[in-house]
Amino acid sequence: MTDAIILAAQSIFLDPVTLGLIALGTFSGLIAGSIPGFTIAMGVILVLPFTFGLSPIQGVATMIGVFVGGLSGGLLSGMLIGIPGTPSSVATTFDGFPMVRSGRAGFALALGLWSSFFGGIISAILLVTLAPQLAFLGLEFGPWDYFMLIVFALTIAVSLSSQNMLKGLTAGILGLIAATVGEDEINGVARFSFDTEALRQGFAFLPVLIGLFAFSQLLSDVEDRTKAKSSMMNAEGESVRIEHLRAIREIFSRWINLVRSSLIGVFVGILPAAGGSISNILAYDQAQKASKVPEQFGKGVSDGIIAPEAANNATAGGALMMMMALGIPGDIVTAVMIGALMIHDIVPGPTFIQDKPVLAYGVFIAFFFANFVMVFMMSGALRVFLKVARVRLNILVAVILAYCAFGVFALHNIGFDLWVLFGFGIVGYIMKKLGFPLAPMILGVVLGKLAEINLSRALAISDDIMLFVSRPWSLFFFLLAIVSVIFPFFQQARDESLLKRFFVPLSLVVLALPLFVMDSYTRMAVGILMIVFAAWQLRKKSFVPQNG
Amino acid sequence: MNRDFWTSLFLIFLSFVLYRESTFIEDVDYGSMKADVWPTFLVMLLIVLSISMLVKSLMEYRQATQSSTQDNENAEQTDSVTGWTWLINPMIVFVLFFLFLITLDYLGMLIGGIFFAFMTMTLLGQISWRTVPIYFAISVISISGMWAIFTFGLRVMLPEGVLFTVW
Repeated sequence: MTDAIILAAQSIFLDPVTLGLIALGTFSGLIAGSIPGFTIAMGVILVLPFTFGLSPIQGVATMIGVFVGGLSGGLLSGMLIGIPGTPSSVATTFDGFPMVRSGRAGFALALGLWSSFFGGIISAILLVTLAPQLAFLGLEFGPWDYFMLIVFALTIAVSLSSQNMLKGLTAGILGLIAATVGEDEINGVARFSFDTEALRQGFAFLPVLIGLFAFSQLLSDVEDRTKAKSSMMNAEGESVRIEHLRAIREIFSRWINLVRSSLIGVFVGILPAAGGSISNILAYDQAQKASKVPEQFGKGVSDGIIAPEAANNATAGGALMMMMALGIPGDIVTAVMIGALMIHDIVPGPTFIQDKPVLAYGVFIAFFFANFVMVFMMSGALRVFLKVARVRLNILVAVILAYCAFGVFALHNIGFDLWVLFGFGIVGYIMKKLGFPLAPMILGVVLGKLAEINLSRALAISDDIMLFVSRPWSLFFFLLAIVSVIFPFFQQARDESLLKRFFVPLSLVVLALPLFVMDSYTRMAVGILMIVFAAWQLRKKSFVPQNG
Repeated sequence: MNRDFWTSLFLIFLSFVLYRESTFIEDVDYGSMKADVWPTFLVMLLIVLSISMLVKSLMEYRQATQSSTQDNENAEQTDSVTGWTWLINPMIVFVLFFLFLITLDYLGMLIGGIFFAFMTMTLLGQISWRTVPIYFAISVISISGMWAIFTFGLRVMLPEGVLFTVW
């Protein structure tokens, strides 16, 4: 392991090109993240074609730079003009904007910057320590368990990304169906090809993803004909001196909030398809609940900036952990990264860290390093942001779509990919307008083949379908999938309802059960802890009506 | 009828088209799961979900018609007549991208890309004597710059067309 770490460190720190690419990626991410409507995923998609000619470590390091920069860049517009640059920095605006308006712009920006940095570093530490353990667990998975893990990934994506469960599930199924088009990998038989040669080769994953995402995103931005003719924002150029030392002292004095928010970020990042857009609001909410002055939130308090910014950067570590340990994308950005690695014939999964230790540790180091680079580049990004923000939407849309076409063609050098981009662009836009969430569909496209291969392997080993719910891990993921399906109803339930009172404790008890059948004392201990916590929750809730 | 009703009808139609197509999947037996099992299972799920969506939309429509007044209906009708302008810009982009793709073999990525970018900027933006030359200059610089990076930097053989060849 030490050799791998040294080699990985050498491949990054002794290679000026890799260092430069991380810096460039981080800077691009900061700019992309700072422009409202221009998401991090879009930034990563635009960088993607340039990574084809690079080595895997250089390509992934560049994208990690964009990822980290993008998560931090959102705070610039959120604080300076009150419009969050990305959905990951929505909650930052709640207190960041009032703080800037009260004349403390330098302090507000520094708080956001350093909270992002510390959140990123905490999640990087967890990534390094937990990803190999998670991968180790992944090696225990049989095809039944892996299949149920994918089922869980899809259900949680549906429940977190959609208000409408039916539409979310439909989107997920459409994604899975799209992944079946073309020759199947097991038997080599053409499916859904409609007797056309073009469809026989199936849809490459990246043109589908870029089509679904880029068109729906960009075209939604230009629907308003007046807005399409104007710039994204009318940012006024103002010089701001970032107050680094004061902000660091302030963050250290509120370290509990920092650590709690970072842990929330990592946890949300691990959940498939749940990204910074959820973690920043969740962390803000928890910070407000834990605060001694909750009524001050929304008026420009430090905790209201620390929580969302630490959480959204920490989400990246969680998403990378899931990608590297199990091959499941934590969000759209890691889905693109999986696609980029596949171009180099590298498929992330439980054996990834063992098989490609230099690359795996390279990813860890790049993630660490990108957080440092982000701090140094923020001031420069602030100046560029104020200029780029004045570019008109019609210009941005035209140039970005043309770049997408260049990038997609460069994938396999075939024109059919451009038609796939166009076709799924229309599909994505229509689905968005009809209220279908795109995240489950993208996850379906990414995981479709993996699901089928594992299903096939499982049935080849045994035709007993009960194994999908009777093996400890498959049962665990099956129960998680059920819990995630019920979760939206729990969110909407009234406070006094039975569902609201019993959902969390019951879920904990039910999820603890498979842990007892696993051959490990540690897992049994975790199971006991979960049951104790559930009992405590039940006891706490049972006292509420009596007191009320 | 509401939007979800028509959406679910389309999805049911799509499901049946896909189901019919799944019956044409070659039946080979290599001892592993057959090629049509997984897609057919997914299509069945899609049918169930589409029918559920149809039922839900009908129930919502029924509830809406019971509670809404005539005034609301009139307002909705007015909205639906005037509410299509949002579609103009996306349609422009889709049509231009389609033109870009079908002319790719003739114009190539460079000229086609410049044409697409210029037309998109112009039709989506403000058209005036001042802006159009600016859009043209931005299109030429941005697209040819990107084309040069891909062609000479990344050595990607982008479609050349018949008007301008490099390779």
